[in-house]
Amino acid sequence: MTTVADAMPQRRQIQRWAPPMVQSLLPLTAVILLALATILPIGALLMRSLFDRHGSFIGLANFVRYLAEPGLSIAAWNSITLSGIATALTVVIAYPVAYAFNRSRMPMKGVFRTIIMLPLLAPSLLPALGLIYILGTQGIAKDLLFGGQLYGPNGIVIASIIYALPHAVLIMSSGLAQSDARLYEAARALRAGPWRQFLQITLPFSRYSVISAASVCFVLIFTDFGIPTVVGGSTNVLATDIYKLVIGRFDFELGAVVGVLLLLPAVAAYGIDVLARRAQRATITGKSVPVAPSKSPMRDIALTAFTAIVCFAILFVIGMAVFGSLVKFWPYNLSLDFKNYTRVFVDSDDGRALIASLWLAGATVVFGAMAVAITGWLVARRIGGGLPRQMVQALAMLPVAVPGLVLGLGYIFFFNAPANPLSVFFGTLTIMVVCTVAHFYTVPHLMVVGTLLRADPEIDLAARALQSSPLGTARRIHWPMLLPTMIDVCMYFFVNAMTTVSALIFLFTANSRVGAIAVVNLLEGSRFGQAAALAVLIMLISIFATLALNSVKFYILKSQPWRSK
Amino acid sequence: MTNAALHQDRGAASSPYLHLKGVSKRYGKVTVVDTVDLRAPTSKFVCVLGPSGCGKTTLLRLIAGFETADSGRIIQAGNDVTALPPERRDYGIVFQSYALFPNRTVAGNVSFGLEATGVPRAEREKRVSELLRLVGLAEHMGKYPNQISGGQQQRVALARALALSPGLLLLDEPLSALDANVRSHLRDELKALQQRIGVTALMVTHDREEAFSVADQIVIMNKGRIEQTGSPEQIYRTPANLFVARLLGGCNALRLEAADHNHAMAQGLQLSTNFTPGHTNGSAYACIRPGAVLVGPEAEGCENAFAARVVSLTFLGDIVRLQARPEQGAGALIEAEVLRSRFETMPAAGEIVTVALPMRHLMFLEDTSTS
Repeated sequence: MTTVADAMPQRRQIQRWAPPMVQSLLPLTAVILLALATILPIGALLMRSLFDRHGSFIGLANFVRYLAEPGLSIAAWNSITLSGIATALTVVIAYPVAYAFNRSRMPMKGVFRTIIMLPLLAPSLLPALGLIYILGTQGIAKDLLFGGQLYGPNGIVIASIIYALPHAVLIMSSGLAQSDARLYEAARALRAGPWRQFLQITLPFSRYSVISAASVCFVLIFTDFGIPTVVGGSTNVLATDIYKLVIGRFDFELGAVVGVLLLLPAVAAYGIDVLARRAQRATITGKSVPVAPSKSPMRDIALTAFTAIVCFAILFVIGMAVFGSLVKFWPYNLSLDFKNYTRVFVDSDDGRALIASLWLAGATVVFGAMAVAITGWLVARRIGGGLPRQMVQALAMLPVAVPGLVLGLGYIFFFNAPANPLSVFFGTLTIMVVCTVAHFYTVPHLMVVGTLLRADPEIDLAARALQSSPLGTARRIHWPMLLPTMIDVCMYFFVNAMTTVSALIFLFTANSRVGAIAVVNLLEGSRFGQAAALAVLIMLISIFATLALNSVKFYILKSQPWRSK
Repeated sequence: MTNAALHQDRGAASSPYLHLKGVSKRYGKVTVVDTVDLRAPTSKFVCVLGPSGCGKTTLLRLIAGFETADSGRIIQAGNDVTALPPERRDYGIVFQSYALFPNRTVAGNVSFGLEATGVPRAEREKRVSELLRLVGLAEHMGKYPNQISGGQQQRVALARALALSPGLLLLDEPLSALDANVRSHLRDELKALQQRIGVTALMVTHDREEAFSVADQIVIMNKGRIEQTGSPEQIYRTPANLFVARLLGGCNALRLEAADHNHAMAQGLQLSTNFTPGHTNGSAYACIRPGAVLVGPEAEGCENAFAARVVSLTFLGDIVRLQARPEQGAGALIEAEVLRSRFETMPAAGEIVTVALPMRHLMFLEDTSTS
């Protein structure tokens, strides 16, 4: 009888044992690069706020000087109150929408969802621009403000809601999606009506996602630069002040002070978000049964109507920006042409900015995706020693709590310091790519970690026992698992790099100006039509990239039959 | 050359294939594995049996090289492997969770290690189809892990572990995630396969039935230490202490109060014994398996027979478990498992029956866990 042992070579070959370079060198390299891109620039900013312009330590004297200037401290108050109001309204509007998506039999959910998510694909300036055409001094519906002014608090709050709404809906959807149908069955068995079920089950169980959404939206609004620049009028907020102080007055010390003031609430809000998410996870058990919405026409009609109104408002605002970009001469000659668009391509500056945007987004996708694939893999599959790995994770989590403006200003202080050999990169597209990757690092890093954590850790042990090296296992097992997520990662980096303004506003030069910043510059020159055209082009590129990457993802999933039963 | 002979050649004739000498592992202040000595003879199936948290999985991970011992030596086939990484050791491993590569087919899983070690394609394919035939999965080779059943997945894991013809097969609770039916079936297959290819196997489990049915040798582990080593029959018949006796099945334990030659007083019951206990200092017990306790007519006339009141009856099919309290003595509760067919009418709770503890089944055991 032939048996297995007979058929095999008598001794199996034992491969030469390579020193574990991957385990030691890779985490260390990741720590150094991440530190250079995140904590060192932020540290430079914190330091700068405590020194005078000649480099001597002066304690909190800069903060005292800041408070002494009345116009400046008002901005802090404006920022807090306006962001608070806009956040509250965003959450109030987003909750029923998220509820409609997850707990109703609303028709056309896909269409509504696409519309709600649309603002994510455009710079935050675009809804603000649309509002100018609707509610501005020459807007078509300015009477809706009952004689009030768009420019100032009204404009900031309304535009911020549109900007933050998709984020709030996404976060609260995930909270409402994970609930337990058995709770509702138990409640019905105890004769609780629908309203009571909502108050005593749905609301308590989704409260953490509401807190989470509120803190995320607060940070987004609080640190956004685009909206107050366009519709802020004479209302000063921290995000515009930091720019004026640094670029207008060259007062880097007060700029650093404002940076700290922007950073602290953002860090606090991030802390709340982390706690809320932890608490949310604790409410869900592995045995939870997903909720299937029951039949309730009244509820569905009400929720559908509300969602439709919200979607209409978003489409109307964005549509008006598109319309404005096509109009010959607002508001006097409303005939349409592509003059504003042709001018983008004729005007070499704006055309060049759009090309620079594509380079920036492309490079951010390539380097960002590579970096998060490596750091996410190190963290999730526990490669290398515990300490470097924890440092990688901590550094990767840092950027989400840091406003783009603060990061950008930190880059000036750190990379423009004469003593820093890396200062040769200052003013180049390279440094902007590094800054953009760092700014948006956390979410894609967590996407990779989340995907790779889903695989049984014993798989890696099995692979090691079969004499596979860590990189071999990564290539043959982890990478195929990760591939579809990597497409989401690319999408996230691309869209954010196309639309971001805040981190780059301090870093660009005439040669490295990107499209979203060109929009800001056009608006500063009151060239609304051209600004709208450029912003619409950025949005169209984002939409096109999203569609293209989604179809790539579709084909990847189709080529991986092992995912489905 | 036959397989058994081939494997005998690997280890020196006298020394065991796998030999652990005083192996210890600590996490902080907790000693998880405490100076363990273990010998696995060539081509034998060794089972490490113990309750959860006893350190048996850590022991397996030390042998696999996923953990490094703090002290002691691990010798495999005459080589000291204590400090070697998993990649340089010679074993195959099967996990409780199967740990199959989800993105590879059944054949792809089995050939993974062959690819990593650079076996040429033709040889690889031959080897894979051979192994899959061996575990009865030849017709499923193109399927992905999520398309086959749990039992089939574990067979794939087994074939994968054997792909590199390892000298040692490590099994970490390989059957406990399966349904009872599949489990007993796969258990027999596993034993047959191991004997057929003659690989030395070491399995950790908490299931005594599993250990009994596959092991040539059982190692009982508790709190990081080895309590007893021996053949299944040996350790069942002569457990080293009360812990081992209880781990291997139900056991009546009557605390000894006084004893001399062939007589003992245990919880107020006067017993005739064929052992002479060394001491009666509170941790000494006279023990008997419930199955060895006699009840009713067959108990009458036997030594150590007592009148006892039936406290409860549990119907277990052919067997009935009966708990009774002797009328004399200090309220000891005696559990007996009797064949239903021995009784015309079963005694009811509250009735008086005769219960006997036959001398030849009485064991003297110490409870070492309290000391």
